[in-house]
Amino acid sequence: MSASIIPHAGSGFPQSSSFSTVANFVVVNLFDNFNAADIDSLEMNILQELHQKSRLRGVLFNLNEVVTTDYHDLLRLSQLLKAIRLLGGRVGLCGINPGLASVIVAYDIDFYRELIGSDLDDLLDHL
Amino acid sequence: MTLAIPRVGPRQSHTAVELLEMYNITSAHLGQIRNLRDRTMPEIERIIQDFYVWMAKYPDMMAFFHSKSILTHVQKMQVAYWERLMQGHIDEDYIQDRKRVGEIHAKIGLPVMFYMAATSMIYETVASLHERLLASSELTLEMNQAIANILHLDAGLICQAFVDKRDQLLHEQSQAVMAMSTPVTEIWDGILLLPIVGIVDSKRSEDIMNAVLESIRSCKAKEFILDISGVGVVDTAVANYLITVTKATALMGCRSTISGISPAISKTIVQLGIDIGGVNTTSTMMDALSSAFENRGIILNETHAGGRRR
Repeated sequence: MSASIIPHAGSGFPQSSSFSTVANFVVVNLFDNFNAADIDSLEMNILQELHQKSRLRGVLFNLNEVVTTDYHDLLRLSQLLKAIRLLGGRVGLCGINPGLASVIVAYDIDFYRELIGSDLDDLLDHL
Repeated sequence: MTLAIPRVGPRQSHTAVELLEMYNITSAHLGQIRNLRDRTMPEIERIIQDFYVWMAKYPDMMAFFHSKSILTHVQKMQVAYWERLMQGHIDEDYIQDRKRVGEIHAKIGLPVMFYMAATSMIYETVASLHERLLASSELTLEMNQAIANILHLDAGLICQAFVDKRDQLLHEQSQAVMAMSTPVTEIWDGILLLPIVGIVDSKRSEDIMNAVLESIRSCKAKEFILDISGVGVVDTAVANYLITVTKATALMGCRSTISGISPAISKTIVQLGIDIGGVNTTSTMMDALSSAFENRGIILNETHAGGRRR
C-alpha cells in the first residue's frame, strides 16, 4: 500500500489530525480529544482537496486514537461527513473502539450509513 | 418488569459516639446501668436459662442450636454479652463485636425475626427483674428505657450487618449470573455468537453491549450473531436494546444478525411499529450462521464420510 503525505505546511490543518492519501482516498487520522474547532479547520481543507483533485474518491476517517469526545464534536464530524457526500465523495470510518461505539449509539449520532471497517485495511478492503 | 438488584456501595460507617447519640443513649443511662450491674448480673444466668426453655417451644429456632456443645457455647456468649452490656461502656470495639454477631447470623441463615423475638423476650424478663430490684417506678422506667435503647442499638447493628452480608452475597451472585448471561463465543474465525436466554432489561443490554464490543475488539470479529430464540418477551424496549447493540457492533466494522425471530416476535415487532432499520434478521440460528459463513467466504462441504448422519 502506498501512502503519500499531503503537504500541509501552513495550510491550516489542525494539530489534532494527520493526513495521507491511500488508493485515491484522503485518510484522516483523528487524534484523541479532537473538537468541533478542529473539524471546522479540517472541513474547508478537505472539501477544497476533494473539489480541486478530481482523482480523489472520498475521505476515510481513522478514529483509532480517539478515546474521549463529546456529543457536539461527534455531531460536527457527522456534518462534515454529510458535506463530503454532497460533493460526491465517499466516506468511511474505521478504528472505532468499544467505548466510542457505545457513546455514538447513546447519542444516536447517525454514522450507520457510512462505510465502516474495523481498521484501515478492513475499510480499504470494502472499497 | 424486573427490578435490578441494587449494587452494593460503600456504606457510611458511624462511630460509637454518633450511634449513642442516634439511639439516645446518654452517659446518665450508662451510669445507671453500671450502678445496677452487681445486682443484675447474678440473675442473668437464670434469665438466659429461662430463655432457652422458652426457645424450646420453637423447633425451627432450636434447629440452629442442634448440638449440646453449640448450645453451651452460645449460652456462655450470651452471659458474656450481658456482662459487657452491664459495664455501661459502649465503644468502637463493642460496635464491631455486634456487627460480627450480625455477620454470623447471616452466615448461618438465622432469620432476623428469630433474633428480634429473642431480644424482645429477654428484654421483658430483664425489665421485670428491674421492677423487683428498684424501689421507685420512675427509676425502673429510666433503667428499662436505657436497656431498651441499647438493645435497639444492638438490633440495628446486627440487622444492618445481616443485610450488608446478604447484599454482598446478592452482588456476588448477580456478578456470576451476569457473566453467565453474556456468553459471547467465537464459534468460527471472526464469527461471534451470543445466545440470549431470559429477560432483557436496560442493565442486561448494557452488559451485553460491553461484552460484545470487547469481544469484537479482542477477536477482530467481522460477524456477530445475536440469537434471541430464548428471549420470552420482545417489546419496544427490548427491541430497542437489541437494535442499539447491533448498531454499536456495526460501528466497529462487524456485521450483526439477530436470529431466532419467531413468528410471534415478528408479528409483535410489526404491530408495535418498531423500526429495526438495517438490522439483519433471520428466523433460525442456522440461517444466520450460513449467512455469516457466506460473508466470510467460508464454504462448508457436506460429506457423508466424515460424520454420522441420521
